[in-house]
Amino acid sequence: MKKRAPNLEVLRIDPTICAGVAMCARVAPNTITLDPWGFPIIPTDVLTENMAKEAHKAVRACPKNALFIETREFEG
Amino acid sequence: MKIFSQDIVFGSANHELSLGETRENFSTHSKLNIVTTFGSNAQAEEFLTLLETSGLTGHGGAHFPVARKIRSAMQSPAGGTVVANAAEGEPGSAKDAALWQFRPHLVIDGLLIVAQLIQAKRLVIWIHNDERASHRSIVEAIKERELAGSPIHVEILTMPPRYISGENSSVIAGVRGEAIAPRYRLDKARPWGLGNPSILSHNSETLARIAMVRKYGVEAARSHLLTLLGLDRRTVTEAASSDTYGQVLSKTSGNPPTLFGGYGATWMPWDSIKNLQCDPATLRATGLSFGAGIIGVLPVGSCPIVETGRVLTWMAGQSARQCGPCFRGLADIAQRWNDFATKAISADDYHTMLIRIGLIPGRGGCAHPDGTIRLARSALTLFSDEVEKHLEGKCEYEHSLDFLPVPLEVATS
Ligand code: SF4
Ligand code: SF4
Repeated sequence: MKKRAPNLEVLRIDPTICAGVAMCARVAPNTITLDPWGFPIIPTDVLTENMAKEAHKAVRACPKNALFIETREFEG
Repeated sequence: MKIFSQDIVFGSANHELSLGETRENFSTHSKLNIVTTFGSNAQAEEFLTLLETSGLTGHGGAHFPVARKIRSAMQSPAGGTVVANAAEGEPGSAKDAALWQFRPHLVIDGLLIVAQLIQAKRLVIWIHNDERASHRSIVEAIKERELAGSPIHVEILTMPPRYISGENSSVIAGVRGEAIAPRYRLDKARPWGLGNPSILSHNSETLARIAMVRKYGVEAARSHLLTLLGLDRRTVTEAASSDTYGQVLSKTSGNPPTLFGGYGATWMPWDSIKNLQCDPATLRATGLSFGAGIIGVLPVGSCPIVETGRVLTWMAGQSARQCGPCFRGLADIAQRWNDFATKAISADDYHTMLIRIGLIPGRGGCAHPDGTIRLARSALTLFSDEVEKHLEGKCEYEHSLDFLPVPLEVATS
């Protein structure tokens, strides 16, 4: 029997909404860093399990609702 | 099949001075007999297949296949909007101005054809409010049609002359009556504005080509307008896909650095451009972009580092100020670049600038910051000797000659 493939999660940001409030980086220090201008740098790769936990926290913490999680179908 | 019979020359600072062609009026244009209606669905389908075969892609810079874009909009219910995008964002470009000032009816025919195909009920011409000569010509064209007994109902929407107001998602937002700024989308491959009903925006040259294909067939899609930058003029010239840049700019000698595409594009050595064909598809296959069709051969006396700094400053000021990495990041890079261009900066400061340049791509809501950074990076690669000299405080240009057209900053916000 094939194992059910895990969902792959990617953190995304709508940069036109983000106001650089930086709440996200505070609750997800290992996943989100800030650039020199105070705006979050979001990992582009599929999240590891630990990062995913943090990412979900960041999504909830963002006062602007600029962050969201995209789920990608497992391929291969 | 060319649109123009000769080159059209514009002044460098504004669109007022123009030499060359005479403007078509409706009665001269009518002699072409371009049919903008379709007798049946089968005829419409036949024309779309022709457009597909012609390989016509959008001339605004993104080069999306035109037939596919129209077909997607045809999936939506009738009653949508077609926009002729005449908001030429690139200060160097004058091809849309050339079309609207000399062949307005051809562009309007293209607009009518697309409107027929998607059964749109609203027609819009979207233009910067400082494009006075083009605006005048459009108003006149509409009046001529009315007097000739073939009135059309077109809205002319004007907006401040910002680079980003011609960007596709900005246009659609503006036509909907929302703030004119780029919108963020997840799926960048999908044309913006599809829906219920669709708002379809096409670049002015694209519309003119659609009308040309309707009249002359697929050959009409194999010419492209270029704007050649000079110190005091911009020349709009029409090149066939089979022409090389060397043939079009036959007077270019030596191997001068050349701005290729537009302000969100790249610096390239003339030697690597001259044998390329003026064809968006061929260029794309080699990883290059035709962009807005701007070619700027750097004149003797202009420092390429200083010129790049002038453009970076302008591009930074053109940010729609929505995304931090764009409006904060680009402003920071532009300032650092100008310091680097005009005074000796330390190797550390230079290094910081490089790191920061690397932090911007991919992080804006639209392609504006990526294009700006592309230009900066291509300058650093191509002008490595000049970079060295600048770092040593030994720029060989006492006073660099201003070359690339950079409009005075319009007041923002
Ligand atoms: S919390 Fe939200 S608004 Fe604030 S920096 Fe993070 S993504 Fe941007
Ligand atoms: S990247 Fe810049 S120009 Fe594009 S949407 Fe964001 S702020 Fe506006």
